[in-house]
Amino acid sequence: MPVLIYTENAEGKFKKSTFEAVSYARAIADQNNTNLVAISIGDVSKNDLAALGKYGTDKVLNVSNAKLKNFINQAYASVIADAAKKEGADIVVLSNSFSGRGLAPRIGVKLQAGVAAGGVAHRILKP
Amino acid sequence: MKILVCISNVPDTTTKITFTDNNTQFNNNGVQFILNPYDEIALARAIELTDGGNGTVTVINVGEASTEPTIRKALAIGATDAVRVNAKAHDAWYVAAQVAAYVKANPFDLILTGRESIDYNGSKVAGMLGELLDLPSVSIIKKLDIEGGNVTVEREIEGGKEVLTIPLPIVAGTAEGVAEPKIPNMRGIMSARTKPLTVIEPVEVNTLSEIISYETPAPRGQVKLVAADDTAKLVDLLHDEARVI
Repeated sequence: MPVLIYTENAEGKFKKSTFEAVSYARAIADQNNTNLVAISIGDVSKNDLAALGKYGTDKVLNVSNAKLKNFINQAYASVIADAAKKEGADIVVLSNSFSGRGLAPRIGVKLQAGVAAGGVAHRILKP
Repeated sequence: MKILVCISNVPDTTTKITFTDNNTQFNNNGVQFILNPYDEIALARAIELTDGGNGTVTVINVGEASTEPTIRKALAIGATDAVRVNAKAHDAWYVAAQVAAYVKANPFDLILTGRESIDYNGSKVAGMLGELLDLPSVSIIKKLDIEGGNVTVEREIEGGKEVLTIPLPIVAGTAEGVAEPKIPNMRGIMSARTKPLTVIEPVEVNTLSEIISYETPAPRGQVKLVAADDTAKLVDLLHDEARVI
């Protein structure tokens, strides 16, 4: 089951913090011997989406819709949670940005998943 | 207008944090507990919005009886009445689920939380409540005004702010700037003793996460100064000691 990373953009451009989050999600995917899928919402160029591969994504989903042009917590959380369900992801990673902090709790409730805010490391505990 | 303010009972900011039971529990021996400062901001704004008989402010806390002094402080500040869900606040999900159950039976026009509690800093309750109640939520706001049936908030974003106008009801997490915290006056303190504080039993909630252990941050090391032209030494230190290259 892959790891899903929400790659936040500002006016169609990924910020440094997004690439950092992708690298962190890649490390989690490696720990779990699984793939990393990115979900981007908004008008991001194909070149920029493809560049996520350099940071470790195996697949990129892009949702572009006029209704999603501006950040709306409820709508974005629905899109990301739907992507997680479709891809079968059991770990969803978001940047600890203002938007990420608003989205993570809603996604957690939708997926009935625990939410760990402000993570700095990720370890798998053996049962 | 009916406003609900979610309040939490948190360790005072000067508390020396220690853990017990093999670092699995927060050690609350001798700890002074206070009203979460961000919740005080939410409460102050709610009181301003309902000033002059324009509505009521209910505060809700998920906690055991030991939280009642904090609840009474919220009443002294100016809340109309209070509800305590008689349960330990296990985590943000548990708290959100309890509050949502209460709100489903008792709707409000506006639900406020602080942006985060100063103990766990999760910023989760506002978003979780919004999702559970199928309401818009804005997690970290710096300004909130109401006109007609709409609320206008300023949301903090990286390098700026975003202004949103949303029809009520919504859930919002307040940060600094929304209002100045109010100091209870003597009249408030006296009336807090007799204002209604209703205790309700919790609903069943599933567990989504578990805290395995706590640890305190490692103490900071001493600063090492490297001469500006000694790049070789800098590289060695970064590689061998800091292990960042």
